This record gives sequence, structure tokens and C-alpha cells, in this order.
Amino acid sequence: MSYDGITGRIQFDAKGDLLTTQYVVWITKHGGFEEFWKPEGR
Amino acid sequence: MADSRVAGRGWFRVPLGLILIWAGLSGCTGRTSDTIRIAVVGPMTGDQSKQGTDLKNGVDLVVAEWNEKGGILGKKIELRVGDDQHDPKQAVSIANKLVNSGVVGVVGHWNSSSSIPASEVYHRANIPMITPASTNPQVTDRGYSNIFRVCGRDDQQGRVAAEFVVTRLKAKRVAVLHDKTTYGQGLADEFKKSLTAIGGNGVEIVYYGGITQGDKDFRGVLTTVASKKPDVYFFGGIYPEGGLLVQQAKEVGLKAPMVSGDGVIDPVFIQIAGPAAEGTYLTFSPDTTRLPTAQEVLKRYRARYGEPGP
Repeated sequence: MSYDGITGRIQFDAKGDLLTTQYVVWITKHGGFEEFWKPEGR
Repeated sequence: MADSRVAGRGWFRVPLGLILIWAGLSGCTGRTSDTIRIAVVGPMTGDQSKQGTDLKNGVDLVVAEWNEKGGILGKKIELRVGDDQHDPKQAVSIANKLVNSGVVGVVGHWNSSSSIPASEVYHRANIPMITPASTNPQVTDRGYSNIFRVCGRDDQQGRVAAEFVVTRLKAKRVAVLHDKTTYGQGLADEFKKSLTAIGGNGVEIVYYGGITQGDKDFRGVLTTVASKKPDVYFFGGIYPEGGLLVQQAKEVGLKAPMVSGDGVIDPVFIQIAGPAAEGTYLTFSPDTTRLPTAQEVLKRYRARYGEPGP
């Protein structure tokens, strides 16, 4: 099952998890949040 | 970020169309003659109501726009709002009420501790549920064909947090705190597991323990953590406690940075913690609010509800 939304194509695996997910590390800075680091190769 | 806020989080990715398509194709009961009834459920009141309100507004916006285009299958969409107060018992009670009211699909719940028991109700009723924020592996690991999520999993974000702590912060002594909830303790345990796997003998977990969600004074446990002299302390939990922890950590002389997960990344965290929030590290998905494809939706959201926030 897939759906084209505003964040791109959403596709699920057999369990109902997203086929593609990504986590990065954010930092709190100047009273807000900024992306800070992402794992190598991802 | 341009506006220094994390706007439009989980609801941003909710593919409401999937719920409606499922409902239409499955011929779910509960469609009255002229409406299709769906629900959005989360913590609409209480200390996590900011998240619930953002979710409700996002779904409400999409439902209104579908209805302006004529609805689906020639029927208007009716939206019910459920408040589970991030309480597992309330979540089950609300789930039963929604099923009995004839909803054909649910967007929610927010917290893993609510989504897991509530999804048992939806599973028995064969009603699709899509959670935008429940990251505990058990949400989907039970293999229910009607339960979905549009966020990551705690085994994924725990691994990224551990990799960051070991390879970027180069921490050798790490304390681990959690809020004893399904989400918070689950994430802390996934972090701890990955930390051991990635860091090996080079990293020592100097403290592991829980706090109680809803408490306001964590100076006692933070004093104990400070005495262990960690390079970093990890917190598995949500922003109300996360904000108090970083604020009170500074008061007791704990200078190590806090690393936490997606339950803490919210403007209210900074409001609670004040300047002490600076330098906190949080795992979360990449910024979707800058996507060109998202700008029109954000514009329509702001026009209808103002800035996402409390």
C-alpha cells in the first residue's frame, strides 16, 4: 500500500511500518531547534 | 529553522486518504446514508494537549478540504475527536466508544502507551488505525494488518542516539533516565542496548533509573546522577518532564548535556526549560516543514488555526 503525500511517497511494509524512515539529531539553539547531525551513510 | 519552531510534526505525514480509501473499499459498517465517520484521537487535554491539538487541527484541515471537494464516494466526512489524556485506560474506553459510534478509521493515538491497548480494540473491529507518533516497536510488531504508523520506531531512534553519543560526543560515562512509560522506558532500553553494542567496553552506563510522569521535582534523582559524573545523560520521555529535567539539572550542578528522543522536541520543552534548554540533543525525523511540497499546506494550516502550538 502506498500514498503520495506532501512529504513524498509513503509506503508500508507488511507490519505497517514505513519502508523508509530516517532519524537525525537536532539541537536546541537560540531558543529553537536546528538539525545538527545525521548518521554516516544515511 | 526559520521560525525556530518545529511546526506540523506527525500530522504532517498522516495519509488521511489511506483511511478513507480503506473505509471506502472495505465497505465498513458505520457509513450512514450521507456521511463517512472517522476519528482523530490523542491527548486533547492535560499536559500533552499541545500535541493532541496540533494533530486534531491537521486532520480537521484535511477533512474540511476533502469535504469542500465533495467528500469521498459522494459522501461527506464526519470527524469525531477523542481525548485519551495519554492514559491507557482512557484510550481503551475512547476506542470502544468510537467503534460503537460507527467510525470507519482512526488517526491516532499519539502515545505508544495509548496506541498499543487501543489498537487491540480497533483490530477486533477491523478498523484501520494510523498513528503519527507512537514509536514503540510493539505498535506494529504484533502483525495486525490494520495498524499503521507514519513515524519511525524506537529501535531505530535509540540506535541513532547511541551512535551519536559514542561517535560524535565521544562519551565514556552515560546515565540513562526514563519516565516508566511504554514509550519512555522502551526508548531508553533501546538506547541502552545500542549503546552497549556500539560502545562496547569503552562506554560505561553509570546510572539507569526511572522518574514518575507528572512529578515536578527531579532534583533528588538528578543529584544522584550528577554524583556519577556522566559525560551525557539520556532521557526517554516527553517534553513536560524533559523541560523540568534540564532546568533542574543545571540547578544541581549537572553540566552534562541531555540527549533525548522525539517526545521532547516541542516548543513547550523550551518554554519550560528556558535558557537551560540550549545544547540539548534530540533525535527526530529531518525537517519536513521546508519541503517545497509542504508550503501550501502549512500556509492553509496557519490561515485556519494560526501557528501550530499551544
